[in-house]
Amino acid sequence: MLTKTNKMKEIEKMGKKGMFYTLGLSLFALILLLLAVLFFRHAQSVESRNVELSFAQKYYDLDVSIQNIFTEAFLSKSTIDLTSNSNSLTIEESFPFDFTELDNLVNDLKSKVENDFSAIDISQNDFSSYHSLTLMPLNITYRHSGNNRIIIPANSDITAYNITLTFTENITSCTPNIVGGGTVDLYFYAQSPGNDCQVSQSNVDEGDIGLTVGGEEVSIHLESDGEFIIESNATAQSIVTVNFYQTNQRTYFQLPITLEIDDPVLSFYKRSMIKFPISS
Amino acid sequence: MINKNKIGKNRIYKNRIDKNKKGFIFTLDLIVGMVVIFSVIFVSLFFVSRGSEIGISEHHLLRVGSDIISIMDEEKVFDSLDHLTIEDKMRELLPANSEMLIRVEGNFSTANGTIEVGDDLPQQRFTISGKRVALTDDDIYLKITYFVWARKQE
Repeated sequence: MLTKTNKMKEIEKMGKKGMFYTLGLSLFALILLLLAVLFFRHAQSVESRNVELSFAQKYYDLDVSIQNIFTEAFLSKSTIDLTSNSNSLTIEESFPFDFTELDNLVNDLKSKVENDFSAIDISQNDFSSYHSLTLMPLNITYRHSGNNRIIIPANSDITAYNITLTFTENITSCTPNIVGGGTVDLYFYAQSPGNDCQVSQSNVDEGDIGLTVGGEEVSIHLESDGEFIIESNATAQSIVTVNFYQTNQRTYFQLPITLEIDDPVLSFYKRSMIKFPISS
Repeated sequence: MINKNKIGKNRIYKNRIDKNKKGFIFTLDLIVGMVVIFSVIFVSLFFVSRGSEIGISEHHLLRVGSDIISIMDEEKVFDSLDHLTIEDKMRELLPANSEMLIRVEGNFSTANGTIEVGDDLPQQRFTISGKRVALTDDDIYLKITYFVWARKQE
């Protein structure tokens, strides 16, 4: 009887061991299976991520090429010459302005791009109104109003204005009225076949220079809030140099033309302004 | 006595046979289970490695196509609107292990406003495509569509 009880205990013990062994092996097998499922899901995730990245890359390339065509249109049709370096921006153009060709080309490009790519929307209303450009990241804006007015909004980074106007008609009067005590230097030179007018003043707070050229009015205003305005009813070549605090940042020009790419199928959205680098 | 011994020995013998049968079945069960598990793991690993390869080669092809079109646009090759000029430049830039088709569409008189250069699109090969726009010096707007695929290894 005693022997049988020991044997039964032994059998029970072996049974328990076998059960734990089996459970352990089953657990191990389950872990391996879960790992396999994880690998499979990871592979699917990687593939879908690659698809998304490929589409993002395609839209990025398209965005860059659209920016390039608007930049080329601006540089070829705007009749503006731009140069810049680390502490100055120079813009040459003629009074009166004529942006008809530029506007026509920009409108044409907008409609063709939107027609070819349904996910793209281009907004150029601000540009058509003011034909402005901004030096970034300093945010120095050079804007046109009508066909005879240049406006440079106030900017605390600006240290000086250097204006050269060349007229084909003679200057018959030149009346400067400069108030000192400011932070901006003003250098003005107007030349005509018969005579010229020059104003040079440091630390200007506000100032007005009024000219009469061939019977037409020309005026230069530096407002007390820092806004700078050049208005000419006479035909003239203008060279406007805006000096600013030296910057080590990479500068570029930006046009107020907005490019939006919105693809709801891929949940892709990108909004950018037309920008281009500067030649110095 | 002798009979009791015989019965005992028979029982021990029978137990051993039972244990051997159980062990055999258990081992077989284990082997089958391991085969199934490792098959699943290897299949998953196969999908993982295949997925990565596809991603890398797709991206590489896209970069190849995009870079070629960028260079051609920068060098004003499309301004020529000439089939041979565009094809020669494309062949010059195309890597040896890739093939390409470029389609240029715009409002120009050559070939009714569509120039197509390069190889024929393959029927059953992985092909990547992209689109860009360009502006010629004569203010002609161009829509450029390109297709790139790996050259068939011979």
